[in-house]
Amino acid sequence: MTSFLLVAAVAVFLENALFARALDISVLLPALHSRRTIWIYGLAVTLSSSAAGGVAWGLHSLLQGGGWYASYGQPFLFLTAQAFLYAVVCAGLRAYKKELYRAIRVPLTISFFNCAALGSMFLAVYKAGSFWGAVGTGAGVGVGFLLACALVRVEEGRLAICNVPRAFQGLPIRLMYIGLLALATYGLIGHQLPV
Amino acid sequence: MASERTAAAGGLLKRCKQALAENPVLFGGLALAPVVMVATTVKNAVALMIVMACTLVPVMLLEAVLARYLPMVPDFARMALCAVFAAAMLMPARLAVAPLAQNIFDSLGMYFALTGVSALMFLHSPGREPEGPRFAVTDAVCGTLGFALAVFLTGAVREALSLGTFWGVPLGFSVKFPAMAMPFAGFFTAAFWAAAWNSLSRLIGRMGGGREVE
Repeated sequence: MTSFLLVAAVAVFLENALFARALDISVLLPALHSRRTIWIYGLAVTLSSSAAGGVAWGLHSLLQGGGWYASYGQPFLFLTAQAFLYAVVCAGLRAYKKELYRAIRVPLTISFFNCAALGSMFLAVYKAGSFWGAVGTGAGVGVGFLLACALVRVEEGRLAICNVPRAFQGLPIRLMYIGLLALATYGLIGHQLPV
Repeated sequence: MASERTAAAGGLLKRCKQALAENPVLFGGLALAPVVMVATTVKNAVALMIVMACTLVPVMLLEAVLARYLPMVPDFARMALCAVFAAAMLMPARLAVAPLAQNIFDSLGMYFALTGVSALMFLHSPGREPEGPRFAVTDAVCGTLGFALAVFLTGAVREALSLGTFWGVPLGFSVKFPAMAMPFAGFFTAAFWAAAWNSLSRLIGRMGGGREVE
């Protein structure tokens, strides 16, 4: 349990998936639509990343050592495992909770097939030292995504009343703001800018 | 018959123009992770272009073929099949990228595989409806070109400013900014190119008398 919490805390604050690795950026943009979508996407990313982390740890424990695995097999197996998890979740929801499935079909798909979920599989394998650490990495990626969404959404309200140049309206100013947060996080952790 | 072919060609051309004006990376915000993190040199950018081409075109074609000829397959099963196919296409992509440089996979890290995943995001890009295979290939090729442009521009600027080179060839700059290789610089570079793309799209739209891309 300690390794789960420790690894999750590192993934949320010190190595936030968005600010340090840009993993969730494509999920962030549709998620910022409203508070409700932030929670839906946040929960979906957290659950998919946590499950993916655990699965990746299992696969890596079974198959590490093979030359083909490191170069060709790992991305293929990880993404196939992710696709299998997604199919199982969707089939289950479709069979037992049809209305819920219809409501969350698109966020579920985007949450499973995005850089955050697959990225958490690679991070789980190479950064976590145990199964619970691997699950914690995924959970940290998801919670870190929620935190990042909250920070970006807070600022969107302020940006809306600023006189942003037309060329920078929309995606450019958001990327500038996320870049500033990434720079601030980089400095807060204690890194120095390279010279 | 000839007029139908002309109309179809015109529709494809219009679709191409729109797809290029609405760049998937600089306008739609898709596939930003590899652009921001590892498009730090032109070689990395070219590697990412190759991976995207190897995954996006076959995946979108497969999705269109499944939707057209096997409509009984549920959406989620179609998506899962596309994901497995994208994963399989990473293997020939790896073979194609390997000759670029000896340490190219060390440079790319996990973002090599994540670029393949990013191709799946294109299937759910806003406003996109699954259509026939011909339109799917058009969309995929335009998406790949759009991604290639964004990643090349970002990689070229970052390599020039951080290392003072272009494809390893020194440019003779006396001042370098190594911080341009950091992730936050990737966000800033992408933001400026996105702003430039916004302005360019509006200008082209006004010159062509068409609608402005908002």
